[in-house]
Amino acid sequence: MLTTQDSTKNSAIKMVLWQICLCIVYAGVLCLAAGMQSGWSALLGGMSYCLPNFLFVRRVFAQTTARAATQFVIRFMVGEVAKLFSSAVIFVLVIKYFAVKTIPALSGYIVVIIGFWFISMLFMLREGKVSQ
Amino acid sequence: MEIASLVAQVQGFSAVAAGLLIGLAALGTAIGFGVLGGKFLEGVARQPELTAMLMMRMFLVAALVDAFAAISIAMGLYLFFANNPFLGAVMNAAKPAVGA
Repeated sequence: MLTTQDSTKNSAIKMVLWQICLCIVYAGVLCLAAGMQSGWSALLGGMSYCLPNFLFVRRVFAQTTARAATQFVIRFMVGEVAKLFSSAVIFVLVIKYFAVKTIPALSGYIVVIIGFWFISMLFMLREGKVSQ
Repeated sequence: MEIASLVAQVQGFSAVAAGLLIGLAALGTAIGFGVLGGKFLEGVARQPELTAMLMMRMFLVAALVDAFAAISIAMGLYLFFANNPFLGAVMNAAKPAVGA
């Protein structure tokens, strides 16, 4: 049986998986509309945010008990800084060392971030419906 | 000589822009996460049984707080370490004058 803590972690991981799906779909659409290299660039740009986000969620939601709340906040802050910095560094490395187009890669990066807003709003709405 | 000073000017302004991008992003995110973390701890202290739900909500709101910070930090590092598009425009404009 799943505990509340497990379901919290599972929901967070599910959101990141939805984000990865969004990245793949966007890259596919761009691949069809503007060519293979644009699709590849969008995929790499999007993944440079998705992968640090996935690792962040795995690490931060390792312990979710009430007693570990302060530890959770500390892990959250440190993880957030690491995520922001590492995603930006990976993005710049992708742009610099891979044969990618700048605009599709940047658009993939931005779509993945803004798309996460909508995913989180959908989850909030669903959570509200479940609790009613 | 004039082209060199133009390039230096563009590089200088780009560095200032990148610094502002990263600095303002860090400032905004720091304030946002400070408030978010404080409220979360307050909520957990009042109702410890809601911890798991509050953690999830915090994660959702954090996604809204860090979005623009992530974009502006990436843009700032891009200006610093990858190709500076403004410099490229100056070099293209200067090509006929140099004769390259």
